[in-house]
Amino acid sequence: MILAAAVAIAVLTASHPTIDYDAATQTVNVRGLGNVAASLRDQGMASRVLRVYLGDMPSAMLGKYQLDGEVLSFTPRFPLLPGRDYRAVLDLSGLIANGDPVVYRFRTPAAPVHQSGFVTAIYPSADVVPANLLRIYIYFSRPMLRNGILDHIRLVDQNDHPVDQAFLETGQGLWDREGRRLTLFFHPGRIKTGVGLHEKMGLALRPGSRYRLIVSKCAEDAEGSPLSADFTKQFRVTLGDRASPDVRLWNIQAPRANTRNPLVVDARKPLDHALFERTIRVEDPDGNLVRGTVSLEDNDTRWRFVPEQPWGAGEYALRAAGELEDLAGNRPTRLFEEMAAPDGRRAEASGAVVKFRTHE
Amino acid sequence: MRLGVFSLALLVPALAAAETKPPAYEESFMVGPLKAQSLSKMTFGPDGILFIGDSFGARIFAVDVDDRTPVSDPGKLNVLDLEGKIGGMLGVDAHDVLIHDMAVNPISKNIYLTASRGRHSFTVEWQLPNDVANASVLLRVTPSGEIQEVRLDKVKFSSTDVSNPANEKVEIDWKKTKARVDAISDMAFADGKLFVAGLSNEEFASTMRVYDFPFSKNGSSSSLEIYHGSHGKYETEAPVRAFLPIRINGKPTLLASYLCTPLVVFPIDDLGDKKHVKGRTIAELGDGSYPLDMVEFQFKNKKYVLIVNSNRGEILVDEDSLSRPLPNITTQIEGTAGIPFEHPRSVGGVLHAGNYGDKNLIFLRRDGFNGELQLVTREIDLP
Repeated sequence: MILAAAVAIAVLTASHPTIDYDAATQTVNVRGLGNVAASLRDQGMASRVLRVYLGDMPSAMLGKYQLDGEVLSFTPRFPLLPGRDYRAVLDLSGLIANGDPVVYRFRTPAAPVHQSGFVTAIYPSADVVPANLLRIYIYFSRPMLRNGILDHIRLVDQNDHPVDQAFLETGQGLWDREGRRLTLFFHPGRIKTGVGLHEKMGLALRPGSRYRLIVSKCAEDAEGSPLSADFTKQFRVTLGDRASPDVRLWNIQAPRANTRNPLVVDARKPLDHALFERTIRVEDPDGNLVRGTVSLEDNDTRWRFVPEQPWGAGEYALRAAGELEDLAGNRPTRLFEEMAAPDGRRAEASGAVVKFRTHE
Repeated sequence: MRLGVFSLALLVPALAAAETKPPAYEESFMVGPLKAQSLSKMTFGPDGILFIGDSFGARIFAVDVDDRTPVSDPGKLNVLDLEGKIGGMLGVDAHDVLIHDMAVNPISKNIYLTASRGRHSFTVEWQLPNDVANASVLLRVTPSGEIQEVRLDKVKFSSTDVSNPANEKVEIDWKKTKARVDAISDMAFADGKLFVAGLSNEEFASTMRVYDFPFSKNGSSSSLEIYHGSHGKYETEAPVRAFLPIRINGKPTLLASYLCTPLVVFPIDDLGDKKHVKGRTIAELGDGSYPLDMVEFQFKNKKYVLIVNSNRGEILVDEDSLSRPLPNITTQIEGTAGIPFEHPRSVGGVLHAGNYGDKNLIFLRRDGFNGELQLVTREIDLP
């Protein structure tokens, strides 16, 4: 090969070879090689003429050399790294006169900007909550790092004093499977009357006071990046709620038959966001489940249901599961702090059914 | 790389034959791209043939790397910042370069390495390179220290299947990996046979496969059972991590070692297809350590075995101690037990070791002070 190159010097010319980098194909191309190109068919020869390096690293990258007409292309074996400096060295010395090495530097496009996560919603969404509020749900725009989330969540009163031991501490926090919904439980010891923490420290939330729940931007998503900003939810606290949600008092706006108009159920007070969404079902006159889409309205006081198929005529049933709860954890047939009956028994949580007829 | 001294001797006539007529295996070789899913383990066979085990692809390749120019004494080698040099070739920073295995061609003394971009992928303790990435690049380091790629896109090779390999779906929870990565956990060639340790999909997963070369059929597959003294129980689940074919009182034997770290002998005559073979545990080398390589060498007409391991420093066994009646550990022990061994002076941080001519051993090691991965020779010299 060296001999061939030496003989070739006299006849080979390359007008003005130029080098470019094509980000779309991740190839380095040498154009304008003239009749030098033909001698670069051999991979070994090509790899001596064109070398591509990452930064200042001492050895050239492995890859494939291809000749297409007068264009020599180098495709690296492994993908180029985003946002890094590379240099391509074209060395035609020994092949043509004035073939001294030419260096071409290029930078690969930066990695796509990581979209910072943020809090999409906090429930209860109302500005007023009972003093014995049981849960808060925080929804994030992307999966979060589960460990240590409570370090980044603060509850402060109207004087900016932190409320200590407000929430139940669990190892990784209570998350949905995806890591996008965090459930915060107020410390049950502080809610339940007669329990040590309650007697010592009282309720975390005092009636008449205002509070702010702050999710710090230091909370990390699953890829270790912080949130885009702090998120704050303000609310005022009223007296504790010690009444069961009474399904019989719900106001049902029955839809018209042969339409897909929404069924709207007004529970007359805010209910637990996740449970309200999940524990109500509609059954048709034959007792079959009616499929459709649920949404909650007016600070989780109203349940709105759009069926997949038009409503039929007749009597439908709205069935609330026993696990349905209001903001204080009271269930339809059992209070969060249910007193025992004189015989020592406590009410069991059980479901409730109300009927409605579609309009003709 | 594990090539016993006795097999080196067998290579000499093979070499002489190679110069006159093509060796028999050539007929079974094809030329083309070698498509492996993972370059998991390597060892050299006769006539400069490199065996590559592909755990994920469940195949074993015999590759003619066209490397049979003899170099008897390659002298000293000292390649510094190996990851920096290989990083340039893979197009990543040094800290992302991961070396998966090493084998030395006993003829040319070229050192073969398999590599990936996977070093950032370690997540939990006890993971080995093959647990976190699949090597796809084969390199060789010449006695002059040059690093070359051995291209596999047009190469002479033959291959054979690994039958009934560990299932791809079985997870090994304690090191967050798949059992399949250890379908092939080590390989060695001796007396015309290729020995392949690993995991099968059988109830007794630890397996020793034996193949003829040139490859004929699927080879034989024996399930292995050992008594693990430091665990105090019989075990069939863990794969052999490093082994060496040697002769004990003239009898061909596999000297095998496992994580945590029993040393076991299996007479080769005991192996056979679908046989269940119980090894004899002759030493416990100390718990909490991976054996990484075993090398047999000769010094002043005596043979020794050097066992390189992850956590306990190099371990040196004088083969004289193997010719005497061997212990048989069958009860739980604390610490170490069995045949005597020493900790010789070490170059430190050793990940792989191999023979490098008669006078030197070669070590792939990480320098504890500057963090560099290096290839260094060490003269064979015992007190």
